Amino acid sequence: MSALAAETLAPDREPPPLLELRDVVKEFPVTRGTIFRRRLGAVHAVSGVTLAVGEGETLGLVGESGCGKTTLGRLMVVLERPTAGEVVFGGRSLTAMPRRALRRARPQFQLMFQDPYASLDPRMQVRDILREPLQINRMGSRQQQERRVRELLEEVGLSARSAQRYPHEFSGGQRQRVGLARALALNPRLVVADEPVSALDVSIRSQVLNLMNELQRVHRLTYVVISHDLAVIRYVSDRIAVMYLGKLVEIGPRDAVYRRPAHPYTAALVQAIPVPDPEVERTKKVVPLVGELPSAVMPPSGCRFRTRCPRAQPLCAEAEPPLRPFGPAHEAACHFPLEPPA
Amino acid sequence: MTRLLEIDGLRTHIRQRRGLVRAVDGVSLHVDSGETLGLVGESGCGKSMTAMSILRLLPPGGFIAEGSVRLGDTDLVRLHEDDMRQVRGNDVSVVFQDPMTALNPTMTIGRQVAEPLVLHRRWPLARALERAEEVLTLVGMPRPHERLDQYPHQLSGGMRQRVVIATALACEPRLVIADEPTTALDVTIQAQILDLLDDLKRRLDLAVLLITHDLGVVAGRTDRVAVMYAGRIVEEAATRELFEHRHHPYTEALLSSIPRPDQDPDEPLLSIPGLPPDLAAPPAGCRFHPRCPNATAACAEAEPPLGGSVERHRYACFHPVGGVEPSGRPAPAGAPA
Repeated sequence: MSALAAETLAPDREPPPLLELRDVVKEFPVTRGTIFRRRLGAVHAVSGVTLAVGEGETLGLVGESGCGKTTLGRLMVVLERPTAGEVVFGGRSLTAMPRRALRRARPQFQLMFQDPYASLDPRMQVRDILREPLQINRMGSRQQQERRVRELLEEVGLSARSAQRYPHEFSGGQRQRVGLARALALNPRLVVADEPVSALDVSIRSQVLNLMNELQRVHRLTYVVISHDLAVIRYVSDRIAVMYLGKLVEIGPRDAVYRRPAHPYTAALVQAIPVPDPEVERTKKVVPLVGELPSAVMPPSGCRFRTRCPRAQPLCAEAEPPLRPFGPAHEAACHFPLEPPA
Repeated sequence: MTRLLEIDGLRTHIRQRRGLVRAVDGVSLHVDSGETLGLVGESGCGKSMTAMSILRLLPPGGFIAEGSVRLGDTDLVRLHEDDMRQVRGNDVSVVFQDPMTALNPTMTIGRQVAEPLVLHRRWPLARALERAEEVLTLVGMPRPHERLDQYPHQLSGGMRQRVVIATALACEPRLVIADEPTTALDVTIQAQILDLLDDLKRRLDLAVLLITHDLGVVAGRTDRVAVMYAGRIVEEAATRELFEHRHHPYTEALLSSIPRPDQDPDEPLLSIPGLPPDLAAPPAGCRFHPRCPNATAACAEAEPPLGGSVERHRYACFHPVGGVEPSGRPAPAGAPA
């Protein structure tokens, strides 16, 4: 997939990105009372994120629970409307688009859900689950739809007999294959996969990850993969974006972010992954992060990570660090980074 | 080190409508005082059921069909239910996976941590609450005195897990069973909780049975490891030995299917074909044989014993990896069993 990304992102004439987020903000109001509803404040789920995803690449979005990564994923496919900012897909602003035009555009960007147990209707046969998007979008005759269902099942490695089965008859890994087939039913250009393998066992996980890679190659798909698991993210992504409390703190090429993180939070995430090697685990000197994620209703002033950061100085409480370049396509938002800025 | 827990030939079955599920099917293992044994495997392999058999906390229809669980000189399998209740939370306690469901939402933190002392030691509540504050301090809870009157929903996930650990430690147990203690937590919080368990083990000379699916957690936090597959232990060794020289193809496959930090991300990950078997009708012979790259006809006929040629390293395989002898010889075809 990196070959494909390199090919489409030729340095001399850069094509416009497939997906762009421009200073996207999402706040959920916190209210009290049902009749005289008062607004007490807001959960700042996503606070001004700007990023671009190129055609054919995989962007990995990593962060801990509550950092806003799932909300950002839903904003990308306009399942949530941003409070402010713009979502641009293929050069057209999805947030400014009239409803009907947006509906016509939707087949091009699909979401693959996290929990294969909760995201498939237990009363529908797999055949109907996969046909539903085709019916809604009035694509093809009944026969053509049936053929497409068989094609999809084959692509994700499920037998043709699976079409008559119900979701409960499948294992977790097979269900996630059904979820992937549904996301692909309308031939999308972009698939946003929210924690595609975290509900699966290790031996099944690699089956699904390898299948996703294979399908990307065949269909020239663009992926945004959202996960809390940096090891998985590194394996599937060309670039990695790290979120903390609604903010993008670092973004850059996979190996740069993983091997030379500039932001202390990224470094802490990399260090915290338990490595399946006793030698490494016993000798590694980890300074565990103190404390926990602060409230997204009242985020800390200045840099949001400062309350847990081992390098924090008085400046961090006063001014919010902007994203600065640390290398080719590598940016991080920190006043006292671990690497010298470029 | 003294032998604290010895499980021998344990079979725990569950009666279900679809038949008898042999969740634990002949498991033998031991834990010494002051050591951490990691019990690893994927969902449904019987690791949690093995642990819950120690405390006889089994799901409806579940029963121990065979075997013994010795804690010191007592066989817990044969203990009267009243005496068993004195073991739970007193000699052996559990740290469950999800701290939200393990705690009672309508009870204050103080009362929950104090409860085992009131029940097992018949301490007056005031004294138990004093001890609760001490234990909360021990597990690194900030402002422990204030916490006594708070409820679980007022705490974050990591802090709740500290409360669960405090409750487990209140009566100074000899063995703590930690069943996926950090699976519901974020990675940075996971590191804090695992450090805490390590530190407490050392200071209190606890034995810990750490149940997890995460081989990364096992690598850094255990002294020995037992790998389970489909209700049986397939390999067991000291942690370092197991990671350096694994002999069972399942262990090997499990380790190669997780993305490692030094992994070349452009190489496809190894994946184990197929699915774990249905424990109501497990395959004949070695239970891993339908998914095993080394399997031969012999593997479908006889079950390899847990043993092998390497000292203190047991494996159950006719075609082990790493150039060691098979753990046993399959009976020649057609011979009477």
